[in-house]
Amino acid sequence: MSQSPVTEDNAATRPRTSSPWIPAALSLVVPGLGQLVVLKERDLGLKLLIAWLVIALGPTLVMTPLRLSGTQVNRAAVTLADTVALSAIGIGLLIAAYAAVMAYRSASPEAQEAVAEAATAKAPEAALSFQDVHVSFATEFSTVEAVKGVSFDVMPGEVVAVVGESGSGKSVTSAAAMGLVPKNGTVTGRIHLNGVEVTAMDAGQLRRLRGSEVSMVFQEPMTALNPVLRVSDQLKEAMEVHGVAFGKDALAKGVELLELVGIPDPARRISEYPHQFSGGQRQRIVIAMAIACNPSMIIADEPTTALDVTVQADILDLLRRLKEEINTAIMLITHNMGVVADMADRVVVMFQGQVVESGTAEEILLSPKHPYTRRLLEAMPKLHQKTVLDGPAVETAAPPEPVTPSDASATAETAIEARDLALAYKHRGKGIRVVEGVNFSVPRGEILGLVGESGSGKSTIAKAVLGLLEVDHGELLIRGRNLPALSRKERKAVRKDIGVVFQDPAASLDPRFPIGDIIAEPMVVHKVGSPKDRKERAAELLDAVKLPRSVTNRYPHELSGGQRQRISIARALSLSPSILIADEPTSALDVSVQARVLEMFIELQEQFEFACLFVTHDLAVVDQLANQIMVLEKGRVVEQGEKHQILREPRRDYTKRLLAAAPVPHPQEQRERREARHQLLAAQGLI
Amino acid sequence: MSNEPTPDSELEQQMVDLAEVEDAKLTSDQKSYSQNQLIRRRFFSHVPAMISLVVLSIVTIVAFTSVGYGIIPGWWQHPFRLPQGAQLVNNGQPTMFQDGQLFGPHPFGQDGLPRDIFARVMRGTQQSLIIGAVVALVSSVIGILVGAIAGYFRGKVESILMTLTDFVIVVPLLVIAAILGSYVSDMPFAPFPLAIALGLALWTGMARLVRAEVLSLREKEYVAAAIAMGASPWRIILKHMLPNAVGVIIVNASFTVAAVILLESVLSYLGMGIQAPEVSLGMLVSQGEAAINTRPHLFWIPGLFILTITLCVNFIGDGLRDAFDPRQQRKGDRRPGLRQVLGLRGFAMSQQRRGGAGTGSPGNNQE
Repeated sequence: MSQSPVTEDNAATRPRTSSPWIPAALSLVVPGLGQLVVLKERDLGLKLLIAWLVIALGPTLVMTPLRLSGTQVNRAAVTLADTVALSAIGIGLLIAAYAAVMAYRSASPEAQEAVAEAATAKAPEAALSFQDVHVSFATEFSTVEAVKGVSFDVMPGEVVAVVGESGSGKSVTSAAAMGLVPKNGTVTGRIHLNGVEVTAMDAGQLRRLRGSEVSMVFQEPMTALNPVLRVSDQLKEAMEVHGVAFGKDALAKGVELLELVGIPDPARRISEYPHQFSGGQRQRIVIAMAIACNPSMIIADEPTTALDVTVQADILDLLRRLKEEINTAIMLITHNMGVVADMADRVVVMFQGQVVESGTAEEILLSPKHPYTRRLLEAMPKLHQKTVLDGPAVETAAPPEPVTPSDASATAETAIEARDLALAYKHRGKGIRVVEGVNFSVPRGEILGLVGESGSGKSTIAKAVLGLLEVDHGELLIRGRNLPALSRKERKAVRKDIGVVFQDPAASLDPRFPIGDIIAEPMVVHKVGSPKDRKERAAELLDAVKLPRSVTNRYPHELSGGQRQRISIARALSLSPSILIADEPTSALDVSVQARVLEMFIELQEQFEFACLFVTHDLAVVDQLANQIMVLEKGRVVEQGEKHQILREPRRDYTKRLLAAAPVPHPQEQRERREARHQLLAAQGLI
Repeated sequence: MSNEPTPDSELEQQMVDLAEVEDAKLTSDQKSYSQNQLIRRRFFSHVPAMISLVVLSIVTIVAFTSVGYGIIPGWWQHPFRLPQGAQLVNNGQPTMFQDGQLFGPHPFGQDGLPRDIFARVMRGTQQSLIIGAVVALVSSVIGILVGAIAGYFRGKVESILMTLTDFVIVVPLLVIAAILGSYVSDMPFAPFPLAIALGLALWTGMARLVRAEVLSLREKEYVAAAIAMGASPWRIILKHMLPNAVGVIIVNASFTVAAVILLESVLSYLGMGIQAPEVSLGMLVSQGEAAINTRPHLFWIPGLFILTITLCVNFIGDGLRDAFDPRQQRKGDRRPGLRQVLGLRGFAMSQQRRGGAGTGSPGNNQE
C-alpha cells in the first residue's frame, strides 16, 4: 500500500490523526486551537483564533467591568453591556462551531484519501490517466453522451496529442480532467492525476489542484487574460493563490517566467496591460501563467488555432522547449495534424466520443490503421512545395491539379479590377489607412487567393468589393464599372452580380429564417421570379450543394457548421452571380468537412464559371483552389502572381517565412522543415 | 472497411467521415423545430409562468365579463356606480363565506354609499389591465422605432435620438406622468388618453435596449450578407434585426406592463390618474385607506388585486426571458431551492461523497 512514492509524499506532508474528533473538540473549546495544534493549518487556525478573540471575547471582557460597576443609576448602560456581551458570546459560539466543523472536515478526508491512494497504488505512474471515462450532458430534450468510455494515459514529460473533429469529445475529456465539466454534465469512470483521483474531489480540493498540479492553456489568447489587470497582477495572482511566491518574490519570478517564454524586455513589459501585447505574445503570457506553479501537467486546448501560422510555429517551438526544460507532461488537444506531427510523442484519435486509435505519432501519421484516421489525413489540404526536403511520401500523394483555364484568361472579360486601391477605416472622424496601393484583376472563371496573416487587410479588400466599406482612394471596377462612382440604384444592380460567403457558419445565416427563405432571399431582394420559381431555384441549389431538398423547412440551428457553409454558398449562387467573394469560408470548419466544402466549391466554380476572390490564411487551401495568389502584409502587397510561382519559387522573404511555417502531417519531414525554418529565419537575421 | 473486425458494426461506426455522419443525421427522421417552437416549448414548461398565465387569464376574463365593458352588459347584478335604492347588506362587510353561502350578494362587501365593491374592483382591474396593455404597446412601438433607427443608421441620427432619450430619462418619471396625467384627465374615452400619455413617457428603456441589440446584430455576418446582396435598410431592420431582437422586446414589454400598472396605481392614489366617476385599483386603494379602521376590506381587496396582477405579469416575463434566452435559465442545480438558500447543498454532497468512500471498495464509481 505504501510502496508508491506518491502515497509516501502525501503521508509526509499531511499529519495523520487517530480521530477527526480530537481537533474538532479542541476547536470547539477554543476556535482555531484544533487547527493550530493538531492539524498544523497555521493560516486558518490563526485567523479563527484572532477572529474569536476580537469579535467574541473582546467585547465581553470590555463589558464585564461596566456590568460589575454598573449601578441602578445607569440602567441603560448596563442593559447595553448585557446586549453586547450576549451577542458577542453568541457570535463566539458560532465561530467555535464553524472551527470545529472545519477541523473535522479537514481531518477526516485522510481516511478517504488513503483509500483512494490504495486504489491507485497499483496504477501506473502516469501524470494523467483516464480509465473508462464517460461524460453525458442533460440537455433540454434528451441526454447526450459526449464521451463514451475513453481510456488513455499521459506519462510525465510526454506530449500526448488528442486529435479529433468537432463533436469528438476531445475538449470535454480535457475539461473532465480539470473538473471543469459544466453543471449539467455527469462524469463516470476514473481520472487520476499523479495517482490522485480527480473525479472524487470536491470543489475545494479541485481548486487547490488547478494551477498547481495541472494547468490549462486555452484557445483564445484574447479572452484568456483579464483586460483591466496588468500582466504582473495576473501572473502574481497565479502564484499567490497557490502560495508559491508572494509580493516582490512573485514579481521577480514573473519577470523570469516572461523571459522564459520569450517576451522581450520583460522587466518593463510585465507592468503593461494585455492589450499592449500582440496575439502571439498574449498566448506566451498565458503559457507563462500556466507554468507559474510548476505544474506536472499542462492541458493545452487548441493553443495555436486562433494564431497566425508563423506565430503558431513560434508557440510550438516554445512549448517544445518548455517541455524539455521543466519536464512537464502536455496533453495537446488539436485538430491540426501538422501540429501533431510537430509536437506529439503519442497520438490519441477520437471520433464521436470514442477513441478509435492510439499509438506513437509515427504509427498514427505514417501508417494509420483505422479508416477514420486515414480519412482525416487524406482530408488535410496539402501544400506542394518544391523543396529539397520532398520525401517520397509526398510525391506519391500528389493529387490531380484543379482545372486551370490559364489560356482562357487572356480572352475572358475582367470581372473585378482594382487600380491603386486604398481603403481606410473611420475612427472618430479620422480615416486610418489599412490597405494601400493594391492592384489586381480577376478574369471571369478564375480564382484569386488573397493570403495573409491577421491584420494584413485581406478581409478589408473583400469588404470593399462587397460595398460594405467605402473606397478611400483609387478605382474598384466591377465588370468595368467603377464602384465608388456609382449611384445607389446602380450599386444595387451591381450587387446582384456579387455573391458572398462569410467565415463564421454560426453567424452567417439568420437564425429566424428557414433554409428555403435564406437561399431565396437574394431573389426576393432583387425581385427576381415568382415565389414558385424561387422555391424551385432553392431546391436546385440544394441539389447543387448536395443537401437533401427536405432541408428547406429546417432552421440554421439544426445544421452543422459545414452544412451551414454549404447553405451560404447556395445563397451566394442563387442569382447566378459572375463574382463570388469568399471570406475564409472554410477556416471555421473541421478538416474533413473543409475537404468536402472545397471539393464542392471547385465543382461549382467549374459549373458556374464565376470569378472569385478567395480570402484565406491557409496556404494549402489556396494551393488547392486558386489560379493567382496575392500575398499581403500589413495592408501592402508583398508578392503577387501565378500560384506555382508564389508557392514553389517565392521571391520575397515574407512569403518564404509564411511557407516555411506551415506544418505538415509527417513527423520526420516536419522535423526537417522545422530546422530549415530556423535556418531561414537565421539567414534573414530574425533570430 | 476496417482492418480490425468490429463485432458491433453499427451504422455510426461504419461511417468514418464527419460530414457523412452529419448528413445522415440530417436525413434521418427527426422532428424539426423552428426557433419559435423551441421558445414556446420552453415557455410552456416554465411552471411559475404557466400558473401566472392561468391566474391572469381568469382575472382578466372575470374582470371583463362580470361588469361588462362599454355597451356590453356583464353577468354581475350590481353596477360599479351607485345604483338607485341600494341597500346596505351585512353592514357593508364582505358576504363571502358568511352564513353558509359561497359568495352572497356582495362578496367583497360594500362601501359607505353603499356601492358594491366586487363590481368596483372588477371595473378597476379592467382599467388597470387596459392601461398596462396600451402603454406597453405604445411605448414599445416608439421605443423600437427610435432604438432601431438610432442603432442601424448611427452617426448624427443616433446622437440626436439618443440625446432626446437622455432628456426624457433625466426628468423623473413620476413628474412627467403626473403632468401628462392631469393634462389628459378630463379627455373622453378614459383611460385611453392616460395610457397613451404614459406610453409617451415610458419608451426610453425600450429604445435603449433595442438600440443595444441592434448594435450587436449589426456586426453579425448575416446582416453583412444582406447588405451585400443589396437589401434596403428597412428590409434589414424589419426582417433580420427585429425578429432576432424579439426576445428583448417581448420581455421588456411584459415587465413594462407590470411597472405601468403600479405607476397608474400610484398616480390614481395621488389623485392625478383616473378621475371619478371612473374607477381604478389605485383610486380604490386611496379611498379605502380613509376607511381602513372601519372597513379594512376596502383597502385590502384592491391592493391584493394590484399585487396579484403585477406578480403574475412579472412571472410571465420571467418565463418569457428564460424561454428566449435559455442560457439564463435556472434549472437543476442552478435553481435556487431551499437547501441552496440555506447553504446546505455542498455539505450534503460532501457527506454523500464521504459515505461513498467510507464503504471502502476501491472500484466504486462516483458520480
